[in-house]
Amino acid sequence: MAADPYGRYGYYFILPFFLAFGVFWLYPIISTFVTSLTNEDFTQFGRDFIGLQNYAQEITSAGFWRSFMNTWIIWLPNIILQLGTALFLAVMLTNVQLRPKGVGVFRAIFFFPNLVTVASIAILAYAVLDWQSGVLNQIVFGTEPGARESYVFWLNSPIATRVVVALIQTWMWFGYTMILFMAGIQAIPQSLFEASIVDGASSFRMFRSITLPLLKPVMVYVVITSLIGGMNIFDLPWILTRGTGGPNQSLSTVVVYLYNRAFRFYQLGSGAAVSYLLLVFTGFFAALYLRFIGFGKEDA
Amino acid sequence: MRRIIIGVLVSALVVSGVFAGGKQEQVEVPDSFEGMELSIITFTGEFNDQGIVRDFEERTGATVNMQVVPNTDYEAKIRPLLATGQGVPDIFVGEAAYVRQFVEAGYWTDLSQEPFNADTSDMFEYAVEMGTNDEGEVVALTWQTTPGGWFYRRSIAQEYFGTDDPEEIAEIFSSWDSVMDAAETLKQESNGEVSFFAGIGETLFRPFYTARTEPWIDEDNNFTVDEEIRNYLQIAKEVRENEYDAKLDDWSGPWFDAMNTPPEEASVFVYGFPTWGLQFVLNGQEESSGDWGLAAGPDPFTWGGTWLGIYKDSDNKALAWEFIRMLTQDEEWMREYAERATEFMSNRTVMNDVREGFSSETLGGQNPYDVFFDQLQYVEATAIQGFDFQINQILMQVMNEYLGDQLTYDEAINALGRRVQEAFPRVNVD
Repeated sequence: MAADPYGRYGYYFILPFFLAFGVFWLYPIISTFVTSLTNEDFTQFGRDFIGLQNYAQEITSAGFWRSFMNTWIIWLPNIILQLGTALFLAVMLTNVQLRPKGVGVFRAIFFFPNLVTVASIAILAYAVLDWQSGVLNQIVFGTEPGARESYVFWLNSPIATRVVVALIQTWMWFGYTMILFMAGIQAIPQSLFEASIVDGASSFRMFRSITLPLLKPVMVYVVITSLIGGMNIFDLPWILTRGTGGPNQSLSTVVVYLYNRAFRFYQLGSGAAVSYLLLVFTGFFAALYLRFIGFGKEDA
Repeated sequence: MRRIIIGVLVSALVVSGVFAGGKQEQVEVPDSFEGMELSIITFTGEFNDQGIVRDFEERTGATVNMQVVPNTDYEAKIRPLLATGQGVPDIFVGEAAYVRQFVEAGYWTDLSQEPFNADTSDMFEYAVEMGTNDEGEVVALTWQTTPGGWFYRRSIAQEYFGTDDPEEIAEIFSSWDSVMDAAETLKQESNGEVSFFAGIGETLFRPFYTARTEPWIDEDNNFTVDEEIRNYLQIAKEVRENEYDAKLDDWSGPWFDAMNTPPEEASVFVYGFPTWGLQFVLNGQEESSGDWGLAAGPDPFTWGGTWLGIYKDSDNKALAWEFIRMLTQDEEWMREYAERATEFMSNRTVMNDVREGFSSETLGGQNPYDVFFDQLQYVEATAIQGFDFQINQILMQVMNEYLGDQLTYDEAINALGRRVQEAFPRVNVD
C-alpha cells in the first residue's frame, strides 16, 4: 500500500465530526443500553446489574402496553388523514390539465403550520378547548350564564383528546408531506402522462397507474419518517395534559410514559428499557411495512 | 493516528481525575468569608427577590452564585446531580412535597453536630420534623412555616350570611357538614351565581392531606389509602355534583380573574391558601384588596415550604452554614426579615414578637398571624413521605376521572393503587 504523506490530514478534518458523534450520539446510545440493564434510580446511591429484569417488567406492565396502544391510536388516523389530504392536494396542484394558479402561495400556506413550534400550538389548543373559558365551548354553547352548564369538558374525554392530538398532527404535517409528494410527482417523466393522454386514459386512471406506483419511494419515506416521529410523539400530549397523561391515561404515549418512568418516578433503568423497546418495536413495524408494500423488489 | 488516540485518552483521564476529587474533610471555619463563593440551587426566586442574598453578601463579603430552576423542573435537575455526585451546589433546597425523600436519602450534612449545632428548640415542631431523619439528625432547616386557612370574600359573607366578621364566619367553616350547608345556602340564595369554592383544587385537598394519620406507604412497603383521602374523594364529588364550585383549575387564568373582581362582582366565596398565598397571591389582587377575611377551615393544614441543607460532599460547609444560620438561627435578622417580607417564620419567639399589632390591608385590617399561629399547634408531619408529590399527582388524575364519572368510587380507589404500583413497582398494592 503506497502511503500518501498527506493522507492522514484527511482524518484530522473528519475528526471533529466523529468526536461530536461519539460524545453526543454514540455514548448516550450505549450508556442508555447499559442503564437499561441496571436498577439505576435517582432516589438512591449506586446501581446493580439486573440483566433483563427491566425489560421483563415493562413487557408485562399494563402501563407500557396502554401507552403503546395510545401511540398507535393517535398515529394511525393521523397518517391516513395526512397522506390522503397531502396526496389529493399534491395531485391537484401539479395537475397538467388544470394548471392551477398560485401554486407557490398554496404551498407556502399549507406548509406554514409546520413552522410553528409544537409547544405554542399545544398552548393554543389548550386555550381553545378549556372547559370553562375555552373558545370552542363558547362558540358551540354561547356565553350566557346558563349556557355554562352544558359546556363539555373536552380535555377530560379520552376520545376527544386523542382526536385533537391526531388532528393537530395532521394539520402540522400535511403541508410538508404535500411538498414531498409534489416533488415526487414532478420528477415523474411528463412523457408518461402525455402518452397516456394520447391513449385516452382518464385522470383517475393516470393517477392509479402512473402517479401512485411511481410515488412509492416518496410514500415509503413519508410513512417511515412519520412512523418514527409518531412513535416518538411527546411534546403535544405532554403540554396538553400538563404531563399527567390525560383522562384515563389516554394521552400517555410511549415517550410520555418513558419520561415519567425516568424523570418523574426516577427509575432510570426501566425508563432506558422502555426507550430500547420503543426502538425495537419501531424497527419491527417499519420492516413489516416495507415487506407489506414489497419495497426493494423490482416491479414487473 | 495512534498518537491522537493516546492524546484523547490522556486528556479524558485528566478530566475525569479533576471531577473525582470528592473526599470527606473536617469543617474548618475561616476567620473571614470575604471573597469566598457560595453556590445554591433552588426553585424559589425569593432568596434574590426578598433581598436575602443581598443581606448575606453584605454581612460576609462573600458572593452567592444562585441557580434558580422552576419548581416543575427542579427535581429533574437536582436528582441526576445528586445521583452522580457531580456539580452539586453547596446548598440545595427541598420543597415540602419531596423534602422527606432528600432527608431520608442522606444527601445532606447533619446539622445537629459540631461545628453547626443547629438550635431548633424554639422552632415550630412540624418544621423540625420535616428536616429530621430516622436517626434523629436534623439535616435540613427552614426559615418559614406555611400554615393555611380559608380566605373568604367579605362582600359575599355580608350579603348571604349577614356578617363578615372572621369569628362568626369561622363557625361556618368549623365542620365539613356546616361547610356543605353554607355552600347550599349560597347556591340557593344567589341562584347559582356565586360559588362557594373556585374548583376541586388545593383548597379542598390540603386539609384532608394534612389530617392523614397513615402515610401513603407503610413500613412494610404496602400502599395504604388513609380514611381522610377517602373522605376527600367523597366531599369533592359532593361539591362537584351539587355545583358548589365554579369548576376553575387552580392557577388558571379564570381562577385568578375570579379572585381579582371588585366586591360587587365577587363570584367565588373561598380560596384556601397558606401563608405564602396571602404574601404572593392575594396581596397582588388590587380589585379585591380589603374584601378578604381569614378563618380556619374544618381541618388545619400546611402547604409547601422550603427546607435547605448542606450537600454532604460540599467543601464549603462553613460558608454554607453561615447562610443557613442567618436564615434560621439569627433572631435579630429573622425579626427584621419577617417584617420586611411579611413572612411567617419558623421561630416561635420571633413570630410572637412580630404578630403583635400586625394587620393586613388585603384582609381589611385583620391580623392573619393569629389564625396561622393557632393552626400550627394542630399540624403534624408524621404521615408525610418522600414520594407524596408523585402520589398526590396520581391522586389528582384519578380524582378528575372520578369527578367526570369515568370511574366509580371503588374503581377510583383501585385505579389509584394500580397506578401507584405502575409508577413504583417496588410498592405492594392489594
